[in-house]
Formats: sequence, structure tokens, C-alpha cells
Amino acid sequence: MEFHIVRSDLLNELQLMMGVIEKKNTMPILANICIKAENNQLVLQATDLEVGIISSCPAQVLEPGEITVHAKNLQDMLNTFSDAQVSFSMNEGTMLDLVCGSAQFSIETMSTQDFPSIPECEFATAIQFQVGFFKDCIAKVLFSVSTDPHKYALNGSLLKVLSGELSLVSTDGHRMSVVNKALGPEFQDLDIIIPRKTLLELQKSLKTSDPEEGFQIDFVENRIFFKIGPRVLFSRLIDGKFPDYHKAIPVGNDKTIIIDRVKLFEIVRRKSVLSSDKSKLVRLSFSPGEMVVVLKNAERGESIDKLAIEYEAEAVDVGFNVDYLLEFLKNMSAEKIEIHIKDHASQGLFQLVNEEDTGLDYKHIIMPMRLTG
Amino acid sequence: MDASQTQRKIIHVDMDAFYASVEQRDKADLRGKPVVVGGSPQSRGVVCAASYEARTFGVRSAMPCAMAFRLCPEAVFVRPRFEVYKAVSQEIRRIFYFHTDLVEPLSLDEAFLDVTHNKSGNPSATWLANDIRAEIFKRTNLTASAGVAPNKFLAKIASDINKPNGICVIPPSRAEAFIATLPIGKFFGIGKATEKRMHALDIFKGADLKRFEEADLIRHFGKAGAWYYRIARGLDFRPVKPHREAKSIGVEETFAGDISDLDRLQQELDLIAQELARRLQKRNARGKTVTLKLRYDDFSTITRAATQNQFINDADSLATVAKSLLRNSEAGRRKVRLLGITVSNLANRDLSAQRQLQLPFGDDAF
Repeated sequence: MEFHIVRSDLLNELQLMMGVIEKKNTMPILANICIKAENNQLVLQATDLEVGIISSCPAQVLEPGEITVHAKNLQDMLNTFSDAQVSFSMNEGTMLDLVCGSAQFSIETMSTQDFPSIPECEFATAIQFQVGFFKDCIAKVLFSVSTDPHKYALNGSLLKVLSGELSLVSTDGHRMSVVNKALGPEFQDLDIIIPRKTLLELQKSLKTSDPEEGFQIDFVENRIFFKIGPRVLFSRLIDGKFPDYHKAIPVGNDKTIIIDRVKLFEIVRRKSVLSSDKSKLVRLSFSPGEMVVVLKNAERGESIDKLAIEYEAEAVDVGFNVDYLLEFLKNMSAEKIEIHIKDHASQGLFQLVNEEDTGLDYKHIIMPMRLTG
Repeated sequence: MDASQTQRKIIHVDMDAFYASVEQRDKADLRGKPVVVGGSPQSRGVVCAASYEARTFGVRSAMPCAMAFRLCPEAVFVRPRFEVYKAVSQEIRRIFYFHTDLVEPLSLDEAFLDVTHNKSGNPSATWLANDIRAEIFKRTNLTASAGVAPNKFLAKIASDINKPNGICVIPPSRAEAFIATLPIGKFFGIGKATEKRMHALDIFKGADLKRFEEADLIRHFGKAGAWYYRIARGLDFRPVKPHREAKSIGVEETFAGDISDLDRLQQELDLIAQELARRLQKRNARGKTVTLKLRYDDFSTITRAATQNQFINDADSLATVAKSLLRNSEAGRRKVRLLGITVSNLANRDLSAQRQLQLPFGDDAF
């Protein structure tokens, strides 16, 4: 095997693939990247058995072949070079030689036979979504995904298409994000749970693409495949039962408050400075025209803020986990938000006001913390 | 010795063979006989308590009942009646509180009392300790032993010296001499394993321990070395803590027969989780760390722990975590004798008061 590549081309792809490279040393081969040199390109594969990426990079292939090498080592080596072009060749043994100008490395390799086999996906029955739209959906739900390994079914987002209506839902049992959009009757029904790590990698890949472009989704066995430009991201799905999220969407939240998102974000961020593991409660007291935001931590101190709001009904107090409020406010871009409250013990419903007309219906639901006294 | 040490007066009160004595008190036919409180000799349970008559045969707490039976076949085996012991314990605590509010119960049958400033204005801790023992006997017909000393460490050792129905006083002036002759295994915090390592270093008595520099003890025994250095000098500044909060709450179950079936073990975990949840909820306690304890048929015991992001105390969450921990064991491939779940990393009361509510997903489990 022998080929030349442009250093930055390979580095860019490696950068994107590092996220799926297994960092724990469970199986040494999973720390490797698989390189296939053929038809004047390199086909690159990386996987941790859950998530994987297939990518490519133009190359001048002198002698085709395939091999796997330690991904992080390769990245580090390429970073130490300064010239644009790098030549790769297998020497007589099992070492891969890298030459860049006068600099040279020889690195250990492992055979591709030990590399996990990845099923082929033809994208023959693919569903197509717009890059920008889906990126926006992921940003609105990803932060609510549970990272608790004991809540397996909640370790991903539910992607559901039913009668042409799309829903993307995440929850950790305390808060929930729901995106809805009418797609049109031509869309096939879907009901899958996409793991959090996959959504993170998908988000990264989508960011490198034109928001107006489309990307494709297809399935092979219990795996989902995303084709974004020249790259393919694939992943196992979560084989679990997502709870019926409709049950947690509140009805009859009759008190509506309209607030400037950025102002509230700054107030809540100020509160988070005083919060600790044992003291997360931030108290929101709404009264006509004004709200008071208080966090008291017996060990650290307290913080009080007042903010003008659009609110007409009777005074109501409700307590939320400061982190949940902060993450919601941080991940949104709308100028104003609407909070719909029933009482101190029922779910608060958070919605966005006048966001660009994307046809996207977004609900964020946070369960309160019990107020003391 | 430090002045603050000499000022304190600590009493350690320890009931004599508590559970067994309650049984002998309530059942005339048990008096004067070896009594073992625990399971039946055929059962796989362990001894909760043994009367002094049974102890002369070598029967001890925590010994398997079958073994107690072999040591003392004529012993009468009775099931524990925890409700009764608890009621008696409360009666005894009322007597303590009559004299001081600084009471630190260690279990149902023993407690530390700081009587430096006692309510009865009694200048002598020794008189006070004898008053308390007499009062206990008058009200419960049970005997207690007491240790009187300037700190908790010495008081606890002292209460054991003239057991049963005795008192031992270690005044500050005699503390050092007392410690010098004390066998190392009697020191609080020195168990069998540490005792062996101390013997290997030629430490057999308090005086031997006192010859070591603090740095050397820390080198040999880690952090505990600093504690050994202090107690060799009779220095124990730990206060009597009236509201000792539990650090962990657990439930465990020894099965009537070893279980190898994974489904059955999971069912047992459900039951244990339900009981644990009941206890946690009763105390309004919630914890982040769930520990699964598992004993195989050869008595080898393992624990597996997982820490959650949230404080939990409901049976479902406890069972879910415990079952996922069970998968990291050899359960199903090896026979299991005992399972237990413990919750630690407990939230303080403030937090349980302002706790996070769950989204209402109904019966849907995650």
C-alpha cells in the first residue's frame, strides 16, 4: 500500500472522526482508524461498536491496500508536520511509514481483519431531511436527554413520524423537550430512539454542511445510517420503550407569563453561581408586571433579582432546578419566551414567542422542585 | 494532657446482652438458660444476641445459628422481637434525656452521654452513671454497664471492663496508665486485621503504640495512623453528637436456600427494594449511591455500587439500579446466598424538603 495525501484533508476528516473513537481501552482495535486506499481516494472508518463514521479523502494511490492505525497517534503525528503533502507506505514488516518533507515516522499497524465489519447501506429507501431544520431540532432537544445509564430508554431522543407528523422528544424524567412539525403524508412512519452520542456526532456533521442542503436517513438491521454530503454516520438504535410523552405534557396551565429570554438567562446564570449539589432550587415569584427570582443556599448565601414581565393574573410561586432553567434558556435563540404555569406542584410549560416562522412547534416542560414553607 | 480533655465527662452506657435479656425478662422459663436470639438452628440466619449463659459455650453475635447450635445444643433459640427492643430502648433514652440532651445513640442498646454540664447538676459523673443504671433497672428490670471517662474512646472501652452489671471509671489522671497496659485489640477502630499488622510491628499494648512517631504510624496505616497516634495518648476530641444522622440505609436478605436462577434473584431484589424504599421514605431520606451486596454460596461477598445524578428513594429506581448492578456479578452462574441493597450519599433534610418532582409518565418505566 502506498499513497500521497494533502495533510489538511486527512486532518479535517480525522478531527470529525475522533468523537467516535473508543477512548477506554476495551478493545485496542477500536482506538484505530481503518484506511482503505483505492480509486484515488482513502476510505476512512472509525467505530466504537455503537456509533461509527465512514468518510473519505482524496489521495494519489500508487498501490492500493488497507490497514488500521492508532487514530490519535496518526492525528498527533500529522499535526507535527509542516509541509502540505504526506506520503504513506507500508514497509516490509507491519509498520506504516509516513514521510513529510524531511520528517519521517514509522507507526504500528493492525490488520483490517480485526476491524469490526460495517454493513453496507445503499440509501435506496432513504428519508430526506433538510440539514438546517434537523440541526435546529437536535439543538432544542439534546440537552434534555438523560445521561443516567440506568434509564436506558431515555439515553436518546425519540424520533417519531406518524401520519406525516414528526416528533423529536427527549426527557430525563424531570424535564422534557418536544419538537413537532408537519412533514406531509409522503413520509414513512418511524418510531425509533437515537442515542445521545449519535445525535452529538450528527450535530457535528450537520454543522459542516450547507443548511439548505438535504441529508438522508436509512436503516439496515438495527442500525440507522445518516448520509451527510460525502460522509456516512451510522449507529445502533436504543432498543427500549420510550415513555408515552403525551402524559407529561400539561394541560390547563392558565397563567401565562411573557419574558425576555436573554434577561432571564442572565438572572438565572447569576443564581447558578450560588447553587451547589444540595441547593438547586430557584424560586420564581410572579405577580402582575413583575417577577422576583431568588436562590438561597444556606452554605453560600443568597441572590435576589427583579424583572419586569408581561403578566396579568394572580400571584404565583414556583420553584425549579436552576440548572434546568439555565440549559433551556441557553439553548434557545428566541427573543422572548412564554411560561405557562398552573401551580407550584405542576409542570411548567416553556414555549418560544415569534421565533422565525419555521412551522416548528416547540414545548419544553420542567417539573418543579417542591418549595419549602 | 490537653485541658479541654480533662474538662469533659463522658459516659458510655451499654445494655447487658440486650435482646437476650429482654427475652429472659419476659419469659420466665428462659431465665438461667442459654438463650440465642436469631433464627432457628436449622435456618441460615445469624445470631443477633446471646445470653451470658450461652456465651460461656462460645456463642457470639453474628455467628451462624447452625454453628451456635453445634456449640450449645441445649440453647433455646428465639426469634427477635424488634418492636419490643425498640420500645425498651426508647424508655432507656428517656432516662438519659432526663440528665442531658447530649445523647448519641450508637444502636438500640448503647449510647454516649456528655454529662459535663448535666441537668441534675450532679458534680460526679460516676454517681450519675450509677443513678442511670439504677433507674434503668428500676424501670425496665434490665441491667446496664457503664464506662465513665474524659472522652468517648476511653468511655467505650471502660463500659466493657466490668460487664455485666458493672461500672468502670477512668479518671483523667489514670487515663495514660490505663492505655499503656491495654491490649491493642481492645482499641476502638482496631479490628482483627489491624491487630495482626500491629503485632507484626511488635505493638501489643498501648505503651508499645505510644513509642511510634505519628509519621511512622501514618506510613504503616495511612490516615488511621494519625488516629492511633492520638488515642495512644488518650486524646480523642470527638464530640458527643446528639443527632447522629445515618450515613447509609440498607436492607439485606439471606435466602432459605441458595438461588442460582437470575429471574428469581431479580424478584428478590424487587422485594428488598420495596422494603428499603419504605424505610427511606419513613425517614424522608434519599440517596445518590446504590450499593448491591451479594454473597455467593462459598460465603465470598462482593459489593457493586453506582452513583446516580439524582437523589432517589422509590422502589422502582432502587430496583432498576440494583438489577443493573446484578448484571455485573456472577449471579446466574454461581449460587447466591444473600442479597442486599444499601443507599448512601444521603441528602440532608434541606434537600429532601426542596426536592425535585418527577414528570407524570404514569406507569411507564424507563
